[in-house]
Amino acid sequence: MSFLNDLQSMSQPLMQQMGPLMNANGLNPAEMKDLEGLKSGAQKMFQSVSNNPNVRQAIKGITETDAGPSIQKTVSLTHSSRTPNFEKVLSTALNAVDQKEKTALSQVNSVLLGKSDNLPQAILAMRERGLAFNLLVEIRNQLMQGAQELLRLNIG
Amino acid sequence: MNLIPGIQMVSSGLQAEKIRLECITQNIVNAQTTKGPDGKPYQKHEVVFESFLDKSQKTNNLQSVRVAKIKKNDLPGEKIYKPGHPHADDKGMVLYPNVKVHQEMVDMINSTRSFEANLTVANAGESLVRKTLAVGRLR
Repeated sequence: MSFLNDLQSMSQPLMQQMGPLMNANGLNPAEMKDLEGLKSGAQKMFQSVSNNPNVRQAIKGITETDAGPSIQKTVSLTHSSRTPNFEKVLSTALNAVDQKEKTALSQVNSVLLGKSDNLPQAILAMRERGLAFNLLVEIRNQLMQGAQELLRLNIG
Repeated sequence: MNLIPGIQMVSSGLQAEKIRLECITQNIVNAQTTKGPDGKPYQKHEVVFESFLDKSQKTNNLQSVRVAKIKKNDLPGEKIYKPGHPHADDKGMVLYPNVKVHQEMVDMINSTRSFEANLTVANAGESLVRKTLAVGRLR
């Protein structure tokens, strides 16, 4: 999976920048160097934040005073089996993009090797692959932004 | 998952137009061919397009295009008096193909423009996706 390697190598400099912040929050940056580690790190971070009594108190306060019980479902920090697993969603998206990459490359290869003469399809597949990758990078940027926002959060 | 709207259809259209252009090329290069493999002068070929339901497009019933067949035009060609010609009959008449090069040129312009129209659709679809992606960067 060459594509996953690209993504990981892209994330690494950012991870290094985030190292001190993570240490402050009881996370090990060495664990976060690959995607698997990133996932478990995010889970750990989520748990530590959600187990913090101050956070619980704050969320309780928000849900009780402002919007009532309707918002409680969305803010609920316990892991529910009904909500789609974030890990699953992300890996499905990764696989879909990787699949697009493979399809595009095989189509271009078959055109270059003379097996197929459908040049338009190959070119369009390449462009679509680029867009899919852009979409993924965009999602990743948003996630990292969210994570940094969370780390910057002052609690208590 | 189709990221660019209509990309499957666009690529089928481009491929069909490509075959049409190849057919026009064949007509033009054979405009003076007085003897083919069957012993008769070349006959003009025309592509026939048909729409079909792409299997990969099953979510929404959108129809792509493909070349159904390439049919021969049976109109008689021109007869020209050329006694010394190897393909002349006993009266010295040579039967030429029924291809009219100026008509083929007009068809070629038509085909090129159709190809460009398909490409414009593809570009429009891609720019839509790019603009949508840019929404995530707005602050």
